[in-house]
Amino acid sequence: MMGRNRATLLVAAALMLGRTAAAAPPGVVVDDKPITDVQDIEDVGLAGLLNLDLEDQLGTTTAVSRTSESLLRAAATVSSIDSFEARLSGARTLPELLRFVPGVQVSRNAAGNHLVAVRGTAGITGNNLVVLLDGVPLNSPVDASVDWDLVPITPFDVERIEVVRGPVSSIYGANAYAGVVNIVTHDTVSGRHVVAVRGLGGGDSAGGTTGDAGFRFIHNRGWLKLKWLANATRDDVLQAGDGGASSPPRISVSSSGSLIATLRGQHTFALQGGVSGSRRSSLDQLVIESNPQERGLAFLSARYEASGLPGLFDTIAAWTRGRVLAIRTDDTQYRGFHYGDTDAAEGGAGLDLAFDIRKNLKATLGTEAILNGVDAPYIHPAENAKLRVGYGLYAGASYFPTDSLDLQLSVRGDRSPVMARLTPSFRLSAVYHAASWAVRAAAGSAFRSPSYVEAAGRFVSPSSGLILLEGSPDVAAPRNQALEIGATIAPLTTLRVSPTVYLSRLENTVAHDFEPLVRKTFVNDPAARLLLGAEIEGSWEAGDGLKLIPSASYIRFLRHDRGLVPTVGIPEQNATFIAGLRAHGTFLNERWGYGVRGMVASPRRYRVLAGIPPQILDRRVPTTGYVSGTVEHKVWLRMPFWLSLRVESHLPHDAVESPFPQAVSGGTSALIGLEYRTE
Amino acid sequence: MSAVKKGAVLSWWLAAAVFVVTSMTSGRALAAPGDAAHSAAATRKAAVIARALAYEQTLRERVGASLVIGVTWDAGNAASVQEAKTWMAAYRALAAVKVDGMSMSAAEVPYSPALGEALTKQGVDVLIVCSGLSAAVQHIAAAAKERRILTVGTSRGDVDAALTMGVFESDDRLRIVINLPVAAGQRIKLSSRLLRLADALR
Repeated sequence: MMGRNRATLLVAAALMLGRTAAAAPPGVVVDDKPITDVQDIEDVGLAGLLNLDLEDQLGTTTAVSRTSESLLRAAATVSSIDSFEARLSGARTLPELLRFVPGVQVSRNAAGNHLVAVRGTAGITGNNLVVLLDGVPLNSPVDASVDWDLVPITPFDVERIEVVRGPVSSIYGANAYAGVVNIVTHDTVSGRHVVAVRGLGGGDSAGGTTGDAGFRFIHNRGWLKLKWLANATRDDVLQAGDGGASSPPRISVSSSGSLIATLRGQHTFALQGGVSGSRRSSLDQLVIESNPQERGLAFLSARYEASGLPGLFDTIAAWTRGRVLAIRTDDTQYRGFHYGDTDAAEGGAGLDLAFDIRKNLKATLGTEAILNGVDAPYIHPAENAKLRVGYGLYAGASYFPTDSLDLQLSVRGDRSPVMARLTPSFRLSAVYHAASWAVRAAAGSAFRSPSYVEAAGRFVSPSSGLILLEGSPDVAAPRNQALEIGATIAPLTTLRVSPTVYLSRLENTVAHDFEPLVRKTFVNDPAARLLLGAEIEGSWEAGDGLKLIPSASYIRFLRHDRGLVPTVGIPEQNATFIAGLRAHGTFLNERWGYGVRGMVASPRRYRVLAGIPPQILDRRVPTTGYVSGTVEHKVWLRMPFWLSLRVESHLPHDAVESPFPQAVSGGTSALIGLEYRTE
Repeated sequence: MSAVKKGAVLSWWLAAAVFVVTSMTSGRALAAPGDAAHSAAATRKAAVIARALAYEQTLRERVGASLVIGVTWDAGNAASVQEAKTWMAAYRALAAVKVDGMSMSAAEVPYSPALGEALTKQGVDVLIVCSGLSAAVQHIAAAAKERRILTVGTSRGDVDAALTMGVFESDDRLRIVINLPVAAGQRIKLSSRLLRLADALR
């Protein structure tokens, strides 16, 4: 009896042991975690399960070299914001979305008037950056500045934004002085179509009303892709920083679209276009009176590309594009300079060739021609409404001596429409990469074309008849030469860190030269400025529920002339230290989504000459902060309707980011609305 | 030694022998065939499928309180039988893992002409179609479509032909292949997050 009991007991134990052995974790470990110990599968990254290495995870970019290449092996520092983060960020404008990219500093003068500086060199002119919408540049034909309110999309429409930092004129020509922002609009996979409609409304802490509406349609049949986007925004009363006056309300509407046909998988025809209009404050680096103004931009681009060609040629692309800008305002409201009655156009055509010379050697060659014309009352009569010609010639080579080492060289010569001479630029880089890390060293140069105002401006005071502004035809193109060392390290598939250190030498910085009540003109600062900077960005993805992206940047001018006040590269215009943290995620199979972002910027002091007649502006900006967030919920299980709450706050509320007394102060806006969105 | 004592010693030996034999046989019966690496690969694929299901936006619409993963195979094909056992073991190993808050269980559904009824009876939400069933793949797909069951093929040809998705190994990595027309026909919507990491068939 006792024996039978023992046997029964041991049989039971053995059965249990056998079952336990059968159900034991069979050794699948993802990021140091046995998969069988996971409670919710959403906590495990799909990339880790698929065993993707860092290069697979990061994907590709076209922003660094204008050809598709691995982001890990790209020749410059790139930060990328994807569609989930853009949508869940709470940001209503592209500059507010870019605020969290390390090395980017954003200031806001009025609703819709943002200035985006990259690596300390935007100052108050904001034309040191090339902005591309699906590959088409949208910089102003007047001064290459970026009117962010006329970029015809919102964060809602973004598939991906790539911010390339450092000099990239060897790829993009003039004004890619400090970097490039490449905006890729929302997309879908072949065989699908996407419809999205949204309407949100709310208010701000100054008692104003605010609202956004948008529409998106994408149809992808594989060989044929159609896109149509439309947006409208209204920001009513935003409180001015000094005196309590209200900034003019902002109303902007835009529409853009594209048609891309790929025939036989080899020949791609792309037609893109868009129009946008905005009525908002005129506040600018030269216009220090805040009155309503209307701006309109239209652009059109056509491109043909043949790819996968046999023989030496890999790709041949030919393109043409153009954009027109018009600015109107009531000139009786101004005592000083304004941009009213500006009509400007720029068009161009180019040819790009890519060669596969050997398996480990690729090359590119290209040329472009530019036509530019501006008709404006603030340009010298002898220079006004003239058609100007510019051109660019460029070449590049990528050599891969081993599987782990990439060497790249690109050179370019440009004569921009406003410049008399050909200006060279280059970039040389070496990237060593492994499965989970890469290090990069790069050296490059870039330049900014002088603007019409700097080179050919003339403004006569309507009241006194005095010439208050006179451009300098001899002003040389400011140049940026930089050295950079960066790395990307991924100790786990869910954890990534990208630190970068750079040293920039800024030459020919354009500075104001004036005495009060005497005409204002522009000169080059004879002394070079030295700028040291560091940036770090991390990423930690704990499944779908949480992705954390911390970032920080540091800038220090090692050498600069305090006696001259340049229009770009002013140490006082930069916060020395900026730190930010973004988090976003989705729950319950994406039925809930959230995003939270917060950042803090150290104090800065503007000491600038702005406006015509010029004024000395001396403003201390305290430690500022910015927070934004979104919560969205899919209301019905069977219908793709999302209830969305978006909140954005500039802190402290009485602080102003810009040097202008009329600039808007901080504040909080909150919007709630409904989105219909298919994927 | 007394007879009682001898009996006790014998019973211990007997019990020990039963223990060894039972533990070995019970383990063999439930464990997946093949070596540990093979089992680990199957478990990883099973986890990938479960992870992909977390990106299925119609999952809650078509699934009950828990998620039932059915495995179907050709009983007359030894390789197919072995494969089915591997999948069953892999999902048993993942028994504690939840998808969209739902518990997951595996069900054996040997292929037969009455597959549809068997799927309904067992409440299958996702069907893994083992190799050896290529000749029957259209029948399986039709039965699954009628019941809005997501099908997972273990043969690339079956996925190309009629099944919703598959997970295949290539250069130490796994690739997800999704047949979008089949998914659309089943009124199954997959998140763009999944599609970005997958090869989508038109």
